[in-house]
Amino acid sequence: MPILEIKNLKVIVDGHEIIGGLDFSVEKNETLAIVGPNGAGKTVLFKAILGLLPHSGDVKWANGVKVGYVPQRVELIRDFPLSVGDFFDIQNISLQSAGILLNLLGIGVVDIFSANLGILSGGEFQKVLIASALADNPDIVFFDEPTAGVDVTGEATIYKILTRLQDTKKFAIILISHDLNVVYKYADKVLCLNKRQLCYGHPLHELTAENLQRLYGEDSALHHHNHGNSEFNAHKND
Amino acid sequence: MINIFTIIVALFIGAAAGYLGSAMVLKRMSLVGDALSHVALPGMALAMLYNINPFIGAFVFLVFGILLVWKMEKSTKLPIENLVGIIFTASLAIGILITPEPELIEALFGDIASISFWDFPIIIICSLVIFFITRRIIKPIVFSIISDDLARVRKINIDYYNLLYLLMVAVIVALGVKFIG
Repeated sequence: MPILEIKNLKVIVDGHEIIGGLDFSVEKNETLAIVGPNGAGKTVLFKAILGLLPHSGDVKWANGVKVGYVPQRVELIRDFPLSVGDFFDIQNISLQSAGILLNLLGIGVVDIFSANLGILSGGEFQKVLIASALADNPDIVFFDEPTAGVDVTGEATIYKILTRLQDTKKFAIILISHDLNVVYKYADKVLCLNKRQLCYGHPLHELTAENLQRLYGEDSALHHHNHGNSEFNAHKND
Repeated sequence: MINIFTIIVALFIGAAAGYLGSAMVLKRMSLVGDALSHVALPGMALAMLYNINPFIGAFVFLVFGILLVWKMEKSTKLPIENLVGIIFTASLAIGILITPEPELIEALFGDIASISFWDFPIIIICSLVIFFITRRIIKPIVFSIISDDLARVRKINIDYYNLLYLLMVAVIVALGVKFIG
């Protein structure tokens, strides 16, 4: 039985249909990647599934599912008087389990807990958010571009750690990513989204030149390296 | 006359208000406490006119004002300070219109030496209750300030905590306004 099953999901904001007609499911231990251009409704899809936005259609969770969520961005007031240790404490996460995860993600634990949340760099704060999403032993984790603001080596580390943790803890991952290499490498399934569901299935079968063209329009040459890029600039100049 | 009871009352209200207020600063609604004392004014004025304990009048009006703010915040998503500005300026105006003039100064500025025999235990108990409830709910409140979405995904009932929080603010302001103004 799938952990999460979506049927005919639709989100309407101010009379405009942002996304519609989505049908997919996520199994235990599975990684589903969601790809699509900016403004395709990827983050909206996450928020609808997580119950943060009103929507119609079925969002069916398996019984007692624990959900982790790493949002794309958390606007932090720079002088917010809270240390990293406090940040875990208010979520009832023990510093021990947070420390193990932060260590894996490449953050030295010795002085991080006493550091003020506001002085963390974007990438460090992102890692703190990832650690707090994973510390709760979730059954499914939603990553909205988890590596935004993380440097190249950090990005590789994060995905490596995620897959390693996934192997032992068997949680499912839903991932929004702009990096098709990441999708090829780590995803079991891919869903192409541009307001509607344009493809759904195994990345190697679904991310064809034709589908990418449909998804990203003329600019798809940017994302698909085997494809000629002769048409690439024509789109921007018109 | 300032006696030992007055000092104890001041200590309890001060400690509870300070603790509650720290979250208020983080929620960026620090001005709300000041404005709320204005909402209490029409309530106190009516209570004085009808010879009821002004604390009760203030509390009823504060709860009403706060429920209104809570509801409007949920439905409009406007920053809480905007809503406070609208509702509370209006109630200050109403309060000044209906407060009898001799009592106006006392209602506006309070008088810490004016506590009666029954005020004392009420204040101590309310302050203690507020202190311990705040201790229980401060973590989810701070977490929801950092990210409303994350807190909701964790199944934290933010609306409930916000309401509880605002009600405690109402109590502490109602207690404080009579003595501190």
